[in-house]
This record gives sequence, C-alpha cells and structure tokens, in this order.
Amino acid sequence: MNATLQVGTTLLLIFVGAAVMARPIAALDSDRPSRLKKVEAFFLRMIGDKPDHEMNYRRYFGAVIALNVVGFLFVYGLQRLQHLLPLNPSNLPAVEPGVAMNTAISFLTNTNWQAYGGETTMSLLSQMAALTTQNFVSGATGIAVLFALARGFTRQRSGTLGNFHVDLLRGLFVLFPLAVVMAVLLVLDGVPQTLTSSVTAHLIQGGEQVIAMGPVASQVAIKQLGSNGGGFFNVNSAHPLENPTPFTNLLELAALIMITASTCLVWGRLVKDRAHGRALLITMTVLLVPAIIAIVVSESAGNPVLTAIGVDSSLLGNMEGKELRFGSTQSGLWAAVTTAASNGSVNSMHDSFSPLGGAVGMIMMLIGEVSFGGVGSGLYGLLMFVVVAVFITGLMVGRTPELLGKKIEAAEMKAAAIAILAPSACVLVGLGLACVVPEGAASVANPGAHGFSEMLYSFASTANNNGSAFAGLTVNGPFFATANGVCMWVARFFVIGAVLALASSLAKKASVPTSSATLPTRGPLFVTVVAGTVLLVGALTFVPALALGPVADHFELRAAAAATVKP
Amino acid sequence: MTADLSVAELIRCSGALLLIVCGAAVLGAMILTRVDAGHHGFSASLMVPVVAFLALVFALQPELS
Repeated sequence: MNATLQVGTTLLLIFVGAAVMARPIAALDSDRPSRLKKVEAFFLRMIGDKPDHEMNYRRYFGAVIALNVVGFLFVYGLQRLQHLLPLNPSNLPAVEPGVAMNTAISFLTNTNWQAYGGETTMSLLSQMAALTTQNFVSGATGIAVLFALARGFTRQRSGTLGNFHVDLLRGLFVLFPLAVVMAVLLVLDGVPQTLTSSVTAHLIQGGEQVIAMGPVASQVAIKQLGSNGGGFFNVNSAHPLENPTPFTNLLELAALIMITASTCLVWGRLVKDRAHGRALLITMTVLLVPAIIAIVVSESAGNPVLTAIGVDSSLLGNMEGKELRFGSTQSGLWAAVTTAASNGSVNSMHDSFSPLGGAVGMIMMLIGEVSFGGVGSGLYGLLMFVVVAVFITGLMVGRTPELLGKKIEAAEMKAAAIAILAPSACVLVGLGLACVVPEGAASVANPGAHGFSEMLYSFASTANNNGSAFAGLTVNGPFFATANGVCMWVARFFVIGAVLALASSLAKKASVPTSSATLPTRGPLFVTVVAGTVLLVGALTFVPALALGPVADHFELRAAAAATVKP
Repeated sequence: MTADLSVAELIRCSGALLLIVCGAAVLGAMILTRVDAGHHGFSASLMVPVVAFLALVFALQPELS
C-alpha cells in the first residue's frame, strides 16, 4: 500500500505538470506572443540568423551537426585547459585526453555517461560552462527536432522544415526557466549552490573529512529536466548533497520525465489532434508502469540467498547498493524511470539490483528509450515505431498506410527502420566484440552471467543515449572508450538524421483524406498496436542476449539460494 | 524562403549560440549562489534577481501570467 501510494503520487505529479506545461510549450511554435518574438529576434540577430530563414533537410541537419561539432570542441577544450582557467579552487589538473573526449561526446549526445568522478576531475568552470551548458543544448536539440518532425506532418508540399536555430532557442525557452525554479527549490532543501569547492569537517572521533561542494543545484536541475543524467558528484543522485531528502528525490524524479510527458500533449496540439497526443502518452505509460511494478516488487522481495540464511528482508527488501533514506521502493521507482527516460541519473547502484530488477532496466533501454525517453528524442523515437505500426496494419488491409493524413511509403519506412535499427545494431555488434576481444573479458569484475549483464547494460546504455552505468565493468580502456563513444554518436545522430529525413519526405507530400481503412491514431487499438510493435521489435532483437545475461543470472541466484544451508 | 547559410556561417551561428547559452548557464549559476548564501534564515533580498528573472519569463508567456 505504501509503495503504491509513493508510485501513484509521483506519477500524478508528473501528469499534472505535463498537462500544465503543454499549452505554453506548444504556443512557442505557432502562437507565441509578440514580446517573445522580439526576444527571439534579438538572439537571432546576435548569432547572425533571421526568424524567417527556412532550412531544408540538408541545412537543418547540417545546423544540428555544426552545433554539435562546435560543442564538442568547446567541451573538450575547456576540460583540457581547466588548469589554466579560473574557478578551479581545488587546482585540479587538465582532464586526460581520452576521458575529455569521451565526456564531450557523452554530454553533447545527451547520454551523459560519466567515465570520471565529477568532484575529483572537473573544475567548477568545467562543470558550469562545459557540462551544464551542454545539458541545456542537448535537451533543446531534442525539442527542436521534434518541432521539425511536426512540421513534416503539418506542411503541405513544402521543401523546408523550419529553422534549427529558432527551434533550439524555443527549446531553451522551455528548459531555462524551469531549471531556475527547480534549482531554487533544490537549494531550499539543502543542495549546495556555491563557488566554494569543499569544506573541511572536524569529526567527533577525531580527524578531518573534506566534503566536496560546488554549484550543484544548477547542474542537478537541468540534468533532470533535460533528460541528461550527468551528476555533479560521482555517485550521482545517491549523494546526500545532490539528492538530500525525500522531497528532493520526488522533485528530481518528477522532473526526470515531466517534460517528455508534456511533449506528447504538445505533439497533439502541433498536429492538431490532441487525442492522438494523449494516446501517445498512454502508450508510454502502458510500457512504463509494468516496469515500475516489476522492479519495485523484485527489489522489495530481498535477496533469496540472504533469506535462505535467515535474514528477514520483509521490511526493507534488497538494500545492497541503496540509500536508507530512499529504501527499495524509491530506488526501484527511480531505476525504472531513469532507464525508461533516457536520463541515466541514479539514486542507487543498479549492479546490486536483483537479476530481474536489473533486466527490467535493460529492457527499458533496449526497446529504444521510447517509453518517455529523452526530451524530444523519446517522442520522435516512439513516432518511428508508430510509422512501423501503421505500415504493418496498412499491409494487413492491402492499402498504402497513412499517418496523420500523410502516406507512409518506402522512403519513410527506410528512415524509420534506420532510426530503430541503428541503436540496436550498435548494442549487438558492440556486445559481440566485447565478448571476443581480450579487453572485454579482462574488464569484467564478475565473470559469468552477471559479467555478461554488465557488458550488455553498458552497450544498452550508451547505444540508446541513456548514460546510466551498471558498475562492475572497467570502461576506461581503449576498447570500451572507443566502442561506447561510437555507440553514443551513432545512436544520437543517425537517429536525428533519419527523423529529419522522414520529416522532409512527409513535408513534401500533400495530405490525403482519412478513409475507413486508415488506422485510427487514437484509442485502445492504436495504443495496443504501437506498444505491441515496440515490445515485439525489442523481443525479437534482444531476447537471446537477455537470456545469456540477467535471466541466467536469476537462475544462478535461485540455485545458490536452494543450495544454501541455514546456519 | 530557404536559408542559404554556408557551412562557415552555420559554424559561426553555432559558436555564437553556444556562447550565449554558456553565458546564461554560468551567470544563472552564479546568481543562484546568492540564494544559497541566504539559505540559513533565507534572506528574501537575495531572491530578487531570481524572482525578477522569473517575472520576466512569465510576462513573456501570457498563458502563464
């Protein structure tokens, strides 16, 4: 009952927040007030662009790539030069080239996989100017691409998709004010926001402890809102200064998917079919809720080996790797949401979860981060599955399929297939290579099924731009650094390229009237078909890998429990 | 109309955009340190820049005002 209340309260807060934000966000695209247009025009003048500069597919995608190339150089350069720059009170040295490169790719692809410990590696300037900045930019990029995709459906015989710089600014208009409000709330509940890098505590038992600090609240706010996940501290939201209380936990958890939930309703407004937007939100929820239940139940049950030796786990559940102030319910809930939402922040250590609990987290990533997913990216990812779903149902009735009035033909299917299969291919190829190269086996802390799970989780995370880590795997060697870097890059930009190509192809077409053979884009049938498509594609691709990893791990644990003799 | 931005112009625009976001992120973080400075006892005066910023944002969005 208590767990149900906690989960229910969190979901209620998310949906109310999403509903409140939908109208203002949608208004940014079509119905924004003149004062905001002036602000927009001011910024565009500063960067040398104009609001009415329309971009075709090549220019739009080129602008995305250009921003990310410049962003990469900026983030990499700041890390490498941080020892020469101000706001480095701990006198930290320059970040090593490999780690700096991995971090730059990670943050600009919205993955935020962290191959470093924040408080011991990054100066305050690097945290604020490089990482926090990129958190805003990568989140806003997702929103921009979603706006462009919406124009693909709404424009008639058009060769253009809008202006990326304008769309990016609109994404920032969503993220920046929310981040400020959230940062203030976090500060009020004890998250530090200071330019002091540490304080020294004199302990009661003698001795001293250096406690790292910094501008934490401002980074945590956008890491959650922008579905980034890269924390200020090494242990992310499990750290008592990054997530000190149940209130901050609720706030950070809600912020994790609130904007993504809202983008579904925004989408409904943009394509002028609000019921369709609600159906997409329900589809995401239908995929998420069973995952939450499965993880919370699995973690609340405790470790069967410990139960076999007489430990009573009925009160706290499996508490290895979890914070006492959150317990197994809030830890399990966070794990389900963060893996579903392409966020990757953690408030507990996923490697310590039960095998089935860990498996659910992997599944939420492996289905393509489309059950909420990242800001903008989660919804455009799900819409790729919608394209596949309407194509399949169109074939069933022998008609050219349509979606929102636009015919889905070979070009659209190719784009959707690339967007869906590119990350999946990265996971399987990367995992296969990791199993055969010497560095792969040497990097695993727990040989056997659990070690395989650690490698599977690593590629599931990076190839779907999630960024959370299972731990137990040494990933700073050349193979994992390179393979994960390639996965992050492909997962982000192959998908964005395919989505924009699909949008461009649709924008060039004229709408056709709905007929009796058109799959309705609302209602239970639509939700079932789309959710079924997501699950089927995921199952067909990844069941063998899951069987070798977490499923085998589960049976090993059961066998160990059965063989344990109570002392 | 279709923009005829060259690759060099796209890179220049990107650089300028990034600097704006970077400036806003660092400035915002520094303003927020004033909120934390008043955390114990919570000095309302330290909230002024934050409240002013929020008022500006909400004023620009009539749906929220």
